Amino acid sequence: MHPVCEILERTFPESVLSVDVLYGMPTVEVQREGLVLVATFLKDSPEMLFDHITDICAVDYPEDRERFELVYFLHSLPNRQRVVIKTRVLEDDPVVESVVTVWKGADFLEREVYDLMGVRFQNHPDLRRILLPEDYNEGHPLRKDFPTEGKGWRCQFDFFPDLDEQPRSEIDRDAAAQERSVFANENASGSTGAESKNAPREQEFLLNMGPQHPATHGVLRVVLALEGERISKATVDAGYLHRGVEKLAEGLTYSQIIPHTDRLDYVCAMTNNYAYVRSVEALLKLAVPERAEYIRTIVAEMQRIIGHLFWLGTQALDIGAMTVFFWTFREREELLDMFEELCGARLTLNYFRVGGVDSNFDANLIARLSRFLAAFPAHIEEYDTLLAKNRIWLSRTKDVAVISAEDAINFGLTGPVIRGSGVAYDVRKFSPYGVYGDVEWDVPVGKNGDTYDRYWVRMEEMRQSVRIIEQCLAKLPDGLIMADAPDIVPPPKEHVMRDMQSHIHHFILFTHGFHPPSGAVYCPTESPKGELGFYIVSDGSARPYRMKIRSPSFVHLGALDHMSRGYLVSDLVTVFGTYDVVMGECDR
Amino acid sequence: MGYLNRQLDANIITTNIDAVINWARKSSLWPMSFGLACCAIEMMATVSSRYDLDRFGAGVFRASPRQADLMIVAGTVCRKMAPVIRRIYDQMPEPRYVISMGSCATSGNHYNSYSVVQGVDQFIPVDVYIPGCPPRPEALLDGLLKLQQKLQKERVLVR
Repeated sequence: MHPVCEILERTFPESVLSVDVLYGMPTVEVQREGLVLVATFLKDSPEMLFDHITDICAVDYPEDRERFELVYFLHSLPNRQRVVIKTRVLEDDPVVESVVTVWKGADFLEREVYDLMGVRFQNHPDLRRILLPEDYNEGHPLRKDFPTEGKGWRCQFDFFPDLDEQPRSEIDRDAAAQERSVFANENASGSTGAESKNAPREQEFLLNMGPQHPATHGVLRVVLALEGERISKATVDAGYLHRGVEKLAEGLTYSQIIPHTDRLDYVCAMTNNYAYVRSVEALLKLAVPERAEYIRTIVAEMQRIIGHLFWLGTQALDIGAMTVFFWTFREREELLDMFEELCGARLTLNYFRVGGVDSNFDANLIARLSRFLAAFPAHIEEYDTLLAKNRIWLSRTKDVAVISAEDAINFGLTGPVIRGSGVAYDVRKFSPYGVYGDVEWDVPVGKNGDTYDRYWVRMEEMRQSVRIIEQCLAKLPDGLIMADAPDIVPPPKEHVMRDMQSHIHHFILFTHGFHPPSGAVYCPTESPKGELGFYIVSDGSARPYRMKIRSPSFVHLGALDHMSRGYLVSDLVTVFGTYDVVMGECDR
Repeated sequence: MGYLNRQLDANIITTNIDAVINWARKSSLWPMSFGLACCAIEMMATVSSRYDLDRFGAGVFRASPRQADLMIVAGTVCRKMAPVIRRIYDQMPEPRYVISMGSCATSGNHYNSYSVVQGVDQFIPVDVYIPGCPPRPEALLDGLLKLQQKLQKERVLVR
């Protein structure tokens, strides 16, 4: 038995219902009442140290009396160990104790579960809907009895301007308390501070930012409580790009979901594809040919360079440096051209397949990529000449949005954001996939946890990506690019149109899909933004029973309030930029 | 220069006022800098180094709807965002134009889900639809040229 399971079973003989090791991950089922006790023990006990909350997922089983299953993914960074905690709640009483006191990162994750599945969390500081609007009254979309198309809200437009409306002469100072609060159900101790709600606020000033704002990287709304020009509280209102991908995925076969993953983090489609197909392959226990692994690693690193170039251009643009944007887009276009040669698309690539990749690298592309790699380090130097000693850049990034390593872990941050605070957590090193274990590269880490360090980390990661791709190209083996698994992988296209058997085979696979064994697997991948994970629950059919996306951007926004308090309003655009948020991935 | 000056010095151009106004309008369409999703990335690519939207007089992206003539709806329109889009549209001064960029803004694309509006034209009028997911920068440029052609045919003073 796994040591973690053993200790838990010994310490909590009453709360722990069952232990198991599923897909290499210790999975512990606990009673609802004992959840917080177990969670606190897991975090604080010196032999456990599960300091990082990765995700919380809720799964709906309408037939069961204990209808909702809550799944907590925990990660111990010191011990490099993951654990899954499951608990069940009743349909008539879907309440569970909140773990926000243990991990601050659970705040947003629990709100998401409440919003989409309707499980309430006791003692949560601010339990409101997070992705859907607060006055949404159709129910909880991820429940199995909720129709995918909704119940008509999406085509009701009750906001058309009323042209007969009387103009308001002045803002009524004695408006009811409810009208004054920005969020209908927000906790009273939240934005209004110590003063009572009815008294006019002289100290604080509420400022709405977004969802239409050039620096919010898409459609994010933040309500700022200001004291002078200093931010005293930043309340995130996400969900303006909530497309319901998790619900849609339940109606699609496994290979039909790949195009949806392209559009999650639309700046880095390759790594999304990669994260998704890796999860499905883990579920199927399918091995991928070596050449395909090399190609996957190469394109993922190309995508990382693209993602970081995009981040650098936009962050510099937000802070006021226009030239950097034009220069980074110049190199980005070169890489996009290579993607276009490889798979015909620029942005939404749909290049990965379950079992391999769609098309092969040819000599021309390799030569082109090598030429790019030879020239690219000089371009990075070029960007550095614009920024590294630029006084405006330094004063806008140094000591801005500082987060300590301890807080960064507690909030569940990942990727360059946590590495900027000096935590060398990188999924590619912790649990190597692809060929990351076979090539030499380093994980750059910052010291101060400020925006400048995260900038430095990302610049350094681009250099490391060049190193990885160069080694992969040198070692690139010959062979197949798709696994030899006829029940999952369709026959090659050139056979399909000529050979009847292949034709039927292809038809069956694309109309019926393949059937993975029932089970559930969580598989993390290092995307340019951080840890992107897919949790797939399979019931043995051709469609996932539940697919949960652990998106780094969403988790990072949970720390926005913490990281922006005390800084100036103008620094808030720096904070957005430094997370590298992409709303498609954040809102899903 | 001397030749051009000689040609222009003593010349008279006859045209109608509508053509002049339309020519002026189409040559300086100022778009809103307003992106929703994936298409916004291609919109940014269209503005930047290689494609250079400014060649067509539409490169001055304004952050305020009060200064913009053109709204490029670039990306998936979610129901939560719809009132915001409508308000931005209402804030733009007339004449105003809307380009629906990409399949999502046009018809909802493959997002037939509870939160996605199945086409932005359900609550604002659209002048040009651009297909694609996302449309290439060339497609956006083509859509802009189509809008300019449409503008050229508009009647301003002569009804």
